[in-house]
Amino acid sequence: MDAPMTTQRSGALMSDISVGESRTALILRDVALPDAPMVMPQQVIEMAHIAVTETKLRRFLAGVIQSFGPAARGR
Amino acid sequence: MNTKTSPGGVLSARVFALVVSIGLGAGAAALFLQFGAADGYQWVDGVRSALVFITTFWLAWGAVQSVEGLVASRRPAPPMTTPITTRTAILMPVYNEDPAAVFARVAAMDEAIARHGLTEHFDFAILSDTQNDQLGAEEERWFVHLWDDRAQDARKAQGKAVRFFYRRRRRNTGRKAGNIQDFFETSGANYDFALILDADSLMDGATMAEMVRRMQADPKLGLLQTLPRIINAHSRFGRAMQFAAGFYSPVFAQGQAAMQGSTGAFWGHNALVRVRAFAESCALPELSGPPPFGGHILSHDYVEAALLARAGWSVRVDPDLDGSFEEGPENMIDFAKRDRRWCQGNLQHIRVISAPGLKAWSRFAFFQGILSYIAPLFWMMFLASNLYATATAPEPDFFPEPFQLFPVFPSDQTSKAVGVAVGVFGLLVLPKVLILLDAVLRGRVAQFGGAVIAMRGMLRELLLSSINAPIMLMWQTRAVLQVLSGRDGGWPAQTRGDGRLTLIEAFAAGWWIQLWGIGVIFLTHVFASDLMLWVLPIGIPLLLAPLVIWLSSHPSDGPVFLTPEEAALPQVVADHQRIMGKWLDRSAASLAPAAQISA
Repeated sequence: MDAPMTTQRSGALMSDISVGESRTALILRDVALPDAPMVMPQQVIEMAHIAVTETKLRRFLAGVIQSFGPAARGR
Repeated sequence: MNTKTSPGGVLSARVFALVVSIGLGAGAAALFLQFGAADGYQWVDGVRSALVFITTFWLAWGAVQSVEGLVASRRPAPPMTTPITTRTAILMPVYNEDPAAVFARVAAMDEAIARHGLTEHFDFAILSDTQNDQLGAEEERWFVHLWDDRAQDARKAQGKAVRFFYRRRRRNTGRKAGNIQDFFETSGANYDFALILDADSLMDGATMAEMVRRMQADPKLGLLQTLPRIINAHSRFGRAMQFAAGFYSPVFAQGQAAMQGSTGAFWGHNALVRVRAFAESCALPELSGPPPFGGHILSHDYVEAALLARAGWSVRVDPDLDGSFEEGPENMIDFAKRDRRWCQGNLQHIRVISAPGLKAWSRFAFFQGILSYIAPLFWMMFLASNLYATATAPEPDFFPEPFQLFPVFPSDQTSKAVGVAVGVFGLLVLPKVLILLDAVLRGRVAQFGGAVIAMRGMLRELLLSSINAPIMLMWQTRAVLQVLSGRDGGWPAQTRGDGRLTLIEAFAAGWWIQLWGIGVIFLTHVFASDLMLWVLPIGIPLLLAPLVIWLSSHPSDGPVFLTPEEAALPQVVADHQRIMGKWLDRSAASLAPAAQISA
């Protein structure tokens, strides 16, 4: 049923759409980002510092806990 | 350059702001303690005073910024005329946006650049992270409109290099920060500077040129941030925000700039970065652990500013640069959605605040961001602790001694609490009044329709923000509690458009706030009826939340809230509207026959 419904005008439009699509593809190929790479070294914002903080915190807590022992024994 | 502040001036501004804010906070806390402990000191009095200190400090900090902004404000520097010798990429990140509107913005900005004869110094890169394939196909279609509008076939025929780029990532790894990083890693070496925009950004050609010239003139400048003005608001809520952003924000930003010096802020868009500085300092890692505290850094801009400063680059906010625009949320729901994302991003900075090597001010900037989101919790705690203290207050003992002949009346310290309340109100209102007076004296008020219309705008904005504030407080509190309980808000696309809500939508968003309103008023009535007058300014807006949300999304027009951009449409904004109208007409005409075929 489709073929008889396609007039000369609509056939031309289909062809226009196809031309449009291939033109879009050509333009999109041209506008890909230019190839000029740069290196972006990843920044350190937590790991080492967290380890240091954790160590300090653990030492501090250990100190606090240990100090409870003598205090409790003294009582 | 008159936008720079000397290191001594920066230090003085910081010390002044800190001393005044801490002093006012401590004074308010001391007064409140005297009031609270008048019937005998209880632990809750200490808690209440501590909360008064924190909240007053925070309000005072904002007020002092405005005062410093007024003191520091100078005439804008005359535009520089040095030749532009550099190449700048204008980056437009896109994530599920309306492509016609976005690409028309690009066309309008290119037209603005062309008016200054600077096209060979600026390229545009549309960096799409759109995850919806249908929308992606639409982007490609609208890119062709852009291509044709800017006569790029003719340029190509002349053998000139392409100036408009488009790429779409199938996976939006690292979200916006990852999108920008991908550009730098692919094409960064082609450019000296990159102007980072948002999909709703618009910038005037003269502004872009001035930014490039300022960066050329200062080889240590890593990032230059403008203060974007909100445009195209139509609703009551949107226009009130637009007015506030246009009228007050330049003064607050000037105050911030005076304190930040070369450790300024990056707000994620409408900012120029030096490509080398950004590339060597700003590749963000994923934070360990799951969201909301781990994973991709949501509010990447603050972190990038801190990392640039850590690497020795200066980061500057130049509020005198006009011609920089963005759009804002049109209703309270869209505002709350955006705020939810920002809340998670700022609270995530708890993980970054201790990063090695950061400048002290960068850490303080993170602290400010965190405090700005947890402040509502303190207000809620203050309200709750007052209800508790009143409900559990001991009955006055008029005869503390046995066989006492005459009664002893407890000293009434209510005036001190009233004094604190008046002071807090003053901290909220005084900056706005001072800014109005300054605008009248300097003549800036003419851009806002004259002194009378500007004053009406100020009063109405004050009223609206007083009604909205308790509702926002509830949303912010919920957002903070969600983040603290480990719920990730994700990365929803921005909602644009006129933003008008139905009453059903408003009720769906605000019914739980209404319940809280009923609860607060009921509890106050039962346990602390003396406080009812103090609670009603909070309780009534909560009770009416759906109505407030609905009504504030309605269109607003008329002279009140007039902004300079409404009074005289900037050329680049007018161009955007014209280009978009032209494209939509052309698109409708070309689609009409195709629609007939498919029919």
